[in-house]
Amino acid sequence: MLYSIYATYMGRRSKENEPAVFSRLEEWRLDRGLSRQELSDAVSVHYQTIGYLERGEYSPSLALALQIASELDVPLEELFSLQPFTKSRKGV
Amino acid sequence: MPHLPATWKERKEADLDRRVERIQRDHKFQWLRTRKIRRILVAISALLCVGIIPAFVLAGAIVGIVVTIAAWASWWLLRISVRTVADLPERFLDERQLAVRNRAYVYAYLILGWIVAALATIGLVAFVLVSENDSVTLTTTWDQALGLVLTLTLLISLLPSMVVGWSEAGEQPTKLIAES
Repeated sequence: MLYSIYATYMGRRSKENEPAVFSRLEEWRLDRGLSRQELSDAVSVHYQTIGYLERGEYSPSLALALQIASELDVPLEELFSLQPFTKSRKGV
Repeated sequence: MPHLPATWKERKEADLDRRVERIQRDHKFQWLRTRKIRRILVAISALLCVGIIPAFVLAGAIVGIVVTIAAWASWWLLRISVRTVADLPERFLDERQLAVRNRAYVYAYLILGWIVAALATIGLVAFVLVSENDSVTLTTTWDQALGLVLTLTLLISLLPSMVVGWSEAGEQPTKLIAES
């Protein structure tokens, strides 16, 4: 009930209508040999936030996505996508 | 020569920085950060908060103070459990934590609003019902007044952390070293 009140009065879209953001962050992070803590320190977020991003439970702001892409030295579209990734980053 | 904090404000800021750093990086209390434990803490905090007034009214000031201290302790544990996200200034939070905190305050405001409105309505209705003959004397004691003030004060402080504790998923264990 509270969520419907909140959604009504705050003009927030329901979660079902939000576009999902798919992520290959974990794959790339491990490829670069970084722990969540190390990556989170590099981009100034909490390490749990990296976990949320890797599980696709949180969509990053453009600034954060660009920061992560720059830190991992990966093109942004290789990290995050609105479409599910159909093949692994190695093209297999 | 290292810069030494000079003023009281600078020392306070430096101390806050240290404490926030400690709680944000803490792994010692990870057992408190599962969804189940968080929800148990929220339920205990809510029960203790609700119990303060009856404790003061029915059992006296000593029991009331004991219940208040227990409620405060549960709040302290809940804050550790959610890493004080609901209580920190913006500069300490990342964008996801900030979104969580802001959402929690909206819900906390709604919940508190409903509680206060319900209490006021019940109070008014009760007053109208008992004052039909226009000769009502309302009496209250310091203990009862203190119980009400403590309950509302604790609720105001607790609710944002309770909302975060209830709505956030439990923390995932994280590997401090990257797997190869």
